[in-house]
Amino acid sequence: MENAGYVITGWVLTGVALLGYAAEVARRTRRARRLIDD
Amino acid sequence: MTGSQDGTRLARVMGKGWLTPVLAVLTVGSLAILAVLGLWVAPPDALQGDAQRLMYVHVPVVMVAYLAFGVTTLASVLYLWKRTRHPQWDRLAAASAEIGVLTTALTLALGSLWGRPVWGVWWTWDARLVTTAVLLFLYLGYLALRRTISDPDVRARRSAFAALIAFVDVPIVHYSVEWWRSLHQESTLLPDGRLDPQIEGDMLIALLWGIGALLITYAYLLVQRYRLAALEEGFEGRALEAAIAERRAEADPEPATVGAS
Amino acid sequence: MRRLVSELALVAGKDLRIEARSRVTTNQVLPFAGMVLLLFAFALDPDRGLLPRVAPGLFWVATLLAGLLAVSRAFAIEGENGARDGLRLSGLDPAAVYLGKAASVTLQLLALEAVLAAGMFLLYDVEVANVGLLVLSAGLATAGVAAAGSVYGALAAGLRVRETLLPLLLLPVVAPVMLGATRAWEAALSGAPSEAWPWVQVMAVFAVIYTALGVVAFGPLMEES
Repeated sequence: MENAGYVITGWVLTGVALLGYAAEVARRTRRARRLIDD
Repeated sequence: MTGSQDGTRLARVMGKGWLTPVLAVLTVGSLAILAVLGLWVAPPDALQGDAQRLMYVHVPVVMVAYLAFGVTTLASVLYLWKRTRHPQWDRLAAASAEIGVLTTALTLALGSLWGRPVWGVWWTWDARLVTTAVLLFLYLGYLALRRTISDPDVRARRSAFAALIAFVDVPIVHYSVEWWRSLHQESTLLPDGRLDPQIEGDMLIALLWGIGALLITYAYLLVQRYRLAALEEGFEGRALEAAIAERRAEADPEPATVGAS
Repeated sequence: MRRLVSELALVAGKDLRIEARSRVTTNQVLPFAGMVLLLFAFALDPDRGLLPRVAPGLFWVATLLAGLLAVSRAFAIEGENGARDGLRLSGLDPAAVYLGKAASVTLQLLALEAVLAAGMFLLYDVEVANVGLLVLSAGLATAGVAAAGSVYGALAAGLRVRETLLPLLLLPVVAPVMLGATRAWEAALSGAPSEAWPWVQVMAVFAVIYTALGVVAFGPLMEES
């Protein structure tokens, strides 16, 4: 694939951003649940 | 659990236990299929080559961004209107705005990555790009405002107004930037900021699938973030105590022994 | 309507009188704006003939930055001695309070712009073809910035981070005014006033919309504790 660097970077960035955000929200949710259960 | 005290329709939808696993699976699955379609099945573009494959993420992401801000605006209106006022709309507005900022920043990054191989520049003062950049700052301000107000009612009301003011500004910004850039016709080498290639067949399928996949992703992220907002509202004070305790634990890994002698 | 105008004048008069006594805009904000113009000259090297061409843009950047300070100040004065509660309990129409504050900011900024413009003509070696257009567009731009700024001033009122938050909130919103004012002034300087017409319209629309928003939003915003 020509320009593979740009293409792959873009797609990986997309995945990381979206799933990373989901993971961060999940982490904060677990923390919140822990605090409530205390 | 979220919304069990509310009883409103939104709360009931957000409260469904099966929502998260189903949306999570759909999200990951549809994004994976999008990757296959966009990176392999779809043919390279006649003019732009493989760089054009970024379109299959860039366009859906920017559509989600606009949708997210639209939801924020609508939720803000619903909060401000006395008949529908309810903290759930404030939660929804905040959650959607955060996703909107994330996707807007991602849009700009993807646009740069697409533009560089095709045009040779990371940025161009095209109306759409500039408007998108202003949009990012508008809602970064919204999020910053939210973070600095601790009283939930004050925060909800001020944020709602801030969201409306930002929304009203968007068409004004768009029109004035477009007019401004239309005065500068010299850039005939750069195709006036429009990267849209001719799409048909497998390319169209990949793009449509991409839009669907990103919409599902948005729904998933929105539900998750909304629930988090509901949880965090319940005990903002305790969250602060917990954070302080965590910081103390970091500084002092071993508690001092008491009553040594 | 007459009551609204008299209440508006009351609030604007109060703010202007405070300025007349404390002289913050004249002694602090104006020199700040002047210094910004100087800094631009350092940054852009006067010998390259660039300054006269970019003078309108530099002027409006300096004015916008000064505007941030003016708006921030307009709401800071309410922060002391329970003045905000006083305003709320006074029975004044919130719309009048908003319009009065915005009017005061507008007038102060216009005065600042007059002095700054004189400085700009001298420092940057600029000539004007159409003074009327210059004044009209400056008036509209200033009214728009003051209107939007006063709404955000209320949104950020009472927050300890107001000084850093207000610029972030206001600057993206007034981007169209920045565009319009600069293009209109370029047209006024170069003697092609017809080019300015769409920009004058944009700024007028902006000023009207944000004034309307302010009038509507100020009441609810003033209500809180």
